Amino acid sequence: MTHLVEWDAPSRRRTEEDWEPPSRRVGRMLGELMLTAGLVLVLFAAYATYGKAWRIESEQNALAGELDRSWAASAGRPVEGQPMARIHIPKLGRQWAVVEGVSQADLRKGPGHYPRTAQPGQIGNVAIAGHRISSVFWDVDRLDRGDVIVAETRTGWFVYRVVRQRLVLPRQVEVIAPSPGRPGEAPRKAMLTLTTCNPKFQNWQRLVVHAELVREQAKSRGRPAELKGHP
Amino acid sequence: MRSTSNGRMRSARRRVGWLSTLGLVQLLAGGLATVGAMATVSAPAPTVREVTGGSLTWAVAERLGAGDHVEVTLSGGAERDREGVFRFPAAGGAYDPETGTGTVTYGGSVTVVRDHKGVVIANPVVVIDGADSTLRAEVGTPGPTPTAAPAPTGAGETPPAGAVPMVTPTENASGVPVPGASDADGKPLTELARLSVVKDTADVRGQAVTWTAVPATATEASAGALAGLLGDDEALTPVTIALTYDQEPALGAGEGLLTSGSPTPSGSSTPSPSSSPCTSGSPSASVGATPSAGSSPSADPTPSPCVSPSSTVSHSPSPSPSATCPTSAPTTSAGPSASASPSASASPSASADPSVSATPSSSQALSAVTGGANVVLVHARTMTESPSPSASPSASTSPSASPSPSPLGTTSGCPTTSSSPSPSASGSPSPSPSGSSSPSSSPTPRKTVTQHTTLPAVNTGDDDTLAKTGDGYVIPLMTLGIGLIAGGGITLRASRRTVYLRDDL
Repeated sequence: MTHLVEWDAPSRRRTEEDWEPPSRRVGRMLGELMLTAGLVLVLFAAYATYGKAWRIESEQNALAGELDRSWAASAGRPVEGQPMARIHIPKLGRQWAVVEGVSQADLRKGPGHYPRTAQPGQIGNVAIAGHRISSVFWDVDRLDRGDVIVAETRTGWFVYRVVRQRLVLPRQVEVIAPSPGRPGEAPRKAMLTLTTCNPKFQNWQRLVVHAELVREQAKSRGRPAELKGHP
Repeated sequence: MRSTSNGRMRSARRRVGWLSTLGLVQLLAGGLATVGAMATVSAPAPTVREVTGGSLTWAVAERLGAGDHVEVTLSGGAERDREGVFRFPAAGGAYDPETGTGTVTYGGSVTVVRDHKGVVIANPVVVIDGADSTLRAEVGTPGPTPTAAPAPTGAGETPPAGAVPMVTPTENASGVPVPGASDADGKPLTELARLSVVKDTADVRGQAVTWTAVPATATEASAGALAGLLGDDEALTPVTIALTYDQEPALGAGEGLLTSGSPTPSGSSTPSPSSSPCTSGSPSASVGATPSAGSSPSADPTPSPCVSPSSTVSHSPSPSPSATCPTSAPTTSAGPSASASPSASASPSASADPSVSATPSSSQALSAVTGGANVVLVHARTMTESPSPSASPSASTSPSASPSPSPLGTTSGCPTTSSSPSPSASGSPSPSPSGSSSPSSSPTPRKTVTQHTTLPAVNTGDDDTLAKTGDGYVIPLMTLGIGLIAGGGITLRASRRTVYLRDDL
């Protein structure tokens, strides 16, 4: 018996020192869980934007070579998921290989060309969608009237100048109609339309940039002057 | 909406694919059996082979369907993939692997209406002769009511009679390997393009030969015929030609590897002792019917009376080990598959089939084709109930029903089991009393189903919304995450461990 008491004394003191209300223990556990979950969420959100941007960047590198090869081989019609043209925006110092198609898989590679819309240079509306992330159409909103967008195809350069920028809702597909804003009407001008999400990091609006063809130049005559100094 | 229609399309295509493979197998088996049987008699071995499968893949023009008002109607086994490339299944023909020449007939027809101008391209024929190769087809204008028939969303299988007014399948019996002899009969063939199909550039795998992306040069004839489709200086797109030829040389090299379109009364229930590896040991002779069917690439413009109600319930428990199938999958046709039209797949005119009903005899067909180690028994007894040929005029509109858009592409399609009602159809113009069914057991009234699929001109990404170019969840996720981190920090801080002694409390 005494034996037990001797044993008891120090241990009891320890428990007395360590004692705390159970709610505190629970609170600590909860706090740690919340911290962890919060970190995971933030990291995932960061990946969803920057990781995707980074992946698109590497896809674009591959696509650029692919596009050059296919142009050299004079491949035929554009195939969904394959690059079909290139667009340059000197003001933003950017260029992208545009893939055919605007499914999520297509847009993971870079800007995508709405399949039913015109080809660069044609009368009609070349509609191109791109993610609003840093490696794609992040700061397309900086484009003002008169800024140059150059579309490059196998055969030529097509210089467009921005004429308008608008914010629309996702269902306003008339902006990519052959005659933008006037669906059903026969097009008379050669337009190019960029669509991306707005505001940044969100997607409940679409930012739309309309540009109009001002001139075109055959590939054989070299790069257009508008691209001077552009990579 | 898109997804469902996609799904429907996919399933339909899968069904067609299955059937076509099945048909290919059976045609191959049948052809081999016959050829083998004949080969024992005929001494000289010609090098010309019968074409048993393959496909012609062609988008026609680069921006076909770039406009808004393009409507495409497919029939007779022609298909269209997501990129708008048409695919015509092989219907017959001959190919000489030694010399690399031949004539391949493909089935199916495609109607494209663009801005009220329509063109029908049906039953293309490729004459393979090196640099002088040509692509021909029946080119016409759609019937009086081009859009009337199956136009809107009528995907799936609608067998409307007379839906496609203009489908006049070529009866092109020219299996003649002699190049250039293709435009022998049927509707006049228009030379759509000049090709350069050289033997050396072919991708040969076994008995499958493929030329990929052969540049097509327009001809004057095609410029006129396709004027409704092509814009100014719009070029033709490259053509991909795939064919699978028979293992054994066809008999009667020049003239007859494909017998005439009229089905010959062929070996009814009598098991033909064929020496070919495929059907060896299989009592289901029947096969004779099939190769002949292969010849007529397509039936006949008029909805031919297809004897449908031949409810053949075959009951033959004998397995036929077919040695020909390179892949060892058994072919079994079960259920309501109109598998009896093995020929149908490879050669659209399954003329052999309807004839079955002519003989009221219950022929015991052996339906199991086994490959490799697998043995599948299918019990089948063919009980033909309708003794009269051409009993029920089945509304087969597209005579060249052969659905073989062979999904295998170029490989010889041996295996597979089909249990689905085949869209293949077949109107044999003349019912021939060829009794015993094809090697497959087709129990059930066979249906003549023509597939009409109207697809949107070009598959679009999103019609009703602009492309989704951002993730809506990023901001909420970010907010939640930051909130959780802050809350967790506060909670931790509040419940931090401190030393309390009981006495303090």
